[in-house]
Amino acid sequence: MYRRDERSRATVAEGSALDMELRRGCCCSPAPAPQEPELQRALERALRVREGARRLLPACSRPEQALETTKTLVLCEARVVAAGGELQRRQEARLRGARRPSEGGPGAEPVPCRGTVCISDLRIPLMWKDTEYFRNKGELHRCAVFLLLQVGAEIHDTPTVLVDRTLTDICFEGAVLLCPRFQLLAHTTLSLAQVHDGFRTHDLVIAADEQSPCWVPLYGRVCCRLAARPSCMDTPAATGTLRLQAPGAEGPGGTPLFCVLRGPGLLCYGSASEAEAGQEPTLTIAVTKDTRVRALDSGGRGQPPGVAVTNRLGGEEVTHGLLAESTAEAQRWLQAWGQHLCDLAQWKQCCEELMRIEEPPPRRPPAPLPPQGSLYHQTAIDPSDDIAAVTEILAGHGGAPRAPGPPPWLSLFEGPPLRSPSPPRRSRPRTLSLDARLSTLKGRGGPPKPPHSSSSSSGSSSPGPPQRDPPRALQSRV
Amino acid sequence: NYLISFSFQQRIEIHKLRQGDNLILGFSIGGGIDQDPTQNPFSEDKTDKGIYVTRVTAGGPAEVAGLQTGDKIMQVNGWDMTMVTHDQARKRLTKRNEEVVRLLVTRQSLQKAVQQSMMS
Repeated sequence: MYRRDERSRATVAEGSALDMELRRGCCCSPAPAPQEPELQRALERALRVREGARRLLPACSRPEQALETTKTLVLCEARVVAAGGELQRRQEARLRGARRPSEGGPGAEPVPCRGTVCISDLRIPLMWKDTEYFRNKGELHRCAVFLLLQVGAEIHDTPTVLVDRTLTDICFEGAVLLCPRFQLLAHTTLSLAQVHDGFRTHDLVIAADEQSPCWVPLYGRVCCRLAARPSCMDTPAATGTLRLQAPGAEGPGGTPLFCVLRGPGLLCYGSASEAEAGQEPTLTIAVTKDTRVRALDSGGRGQPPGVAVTNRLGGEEVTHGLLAESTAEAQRWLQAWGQHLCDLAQWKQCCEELMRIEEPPPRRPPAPLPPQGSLYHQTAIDPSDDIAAVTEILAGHGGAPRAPGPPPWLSLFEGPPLRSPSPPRRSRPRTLSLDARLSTLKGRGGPPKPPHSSSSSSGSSSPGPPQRDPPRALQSRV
Repeated sequence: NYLISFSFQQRIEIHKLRQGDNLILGFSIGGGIDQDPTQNPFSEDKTDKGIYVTRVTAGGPAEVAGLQTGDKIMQVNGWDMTMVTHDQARKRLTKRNEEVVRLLVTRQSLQKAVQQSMMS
């Protein structure tokens, strides 16, 4: 929801070469940045699409076309500015901080792990004035709204929703239509503090006032569920065998346990196979951002190297000593602990519990109709008809194994209209149409059709008998 | 730094471009229930026989409308595309009397980027 003449929000240095390029609206790509090929590609793509949309806009014959093209333009502008700004920023960072500590070295500061973030169930409440709400004459206030979401250099948009007084909230799922000039109505910024595995309400900063031509009576809030799952909750920071030292004891010895450092705990199993089988761990040591870890040095007293993990439980400090098999192992564990505690400190509440991340809905196979739900059963005229009898008939011929896809009897209810019904085969009267189809079924007796030809609802011709050809990988231009 | 993964399916409205006698959309498709799904470079599940966008012509109507390579086409103008042959899919997109096609696509490309960066 950006105004076309509004100052950009990303930080492109004024007067810089990139800035001049952007202002000129030049379609030639800016100075190539070979170190950032993906960003470069994104920028070039946005510029190309912007050029295409600009050319398309005056040629639009219908208002819906113009609306979508304008929306595309707004998005491209935002992407160009974001990608360009990000490239600029990275370039400057490279020039400034030339010497960075090598990643993974023993003295290096750990960098927090990445994660997956998901925002869903977006809803923006509206507050219509009663004069508007009950108005019957005059032009109805209507406009098209979409959300633009930005994280760093990534821009995403939602489908456009048509808003008028019949809506109490703007929910994002819907469809298109009407006026081709977008104006920023409101914005909000969400950060780590707002991540929560549940529906929450946030305040909007309103930008447009009632006088603006594209005004919508926003209540001032937006609701959504912002979830995040850092990778330290899924992937273990370290796994391996450690010996759990008995409390107060020193020196070698202790129970060997297969330990997995993941998320909010160090899970200790009797063996690796137990861990893989998903059984309950023998012992779980809680790990929070308040957990303290230090190295157990191998001193002269025969103390093997290891790690001491200290938690504060109910005002008392509890320390577990974990002994490693070698100095190298102890070192590896110490590094893993360091990384993991850094992740927990940075991701905060996201590490307390695993949050559900929405997945795009999986491909739905065509749902087979259960026999009891068939429409034809419900139109049985005689009340003495019952579902069981009809199901029996169908089951009698359904002994053949069903191919995957729509059940064969589904095709009974498609096809050309009936001819004269045959006389009823049973003493109890039935609906004529069902009976005629049943007699057709009895005459068949062959195996059910393969899914290819029975999914003929499209009306286009099926490609013939099931092929035994070698599998192909066709591509078609459309 | 983190990347976002979205649960939205994208609705894409492509206005075909007239080129001579043809109406073109400016992209290519692969997949179909009569095709070999293991050769699809874009699908997560290699038994997925759905229709995928394999190429998008630069500056064409599909690109301008927001279609991207790797998108999986779920519906075209309300018709299901998850259980069709390759030819049926092509036909549903190229009806001569339709100037606009409304696609429902699933985009997984961003999720892939997150997984790749977490593994690197």
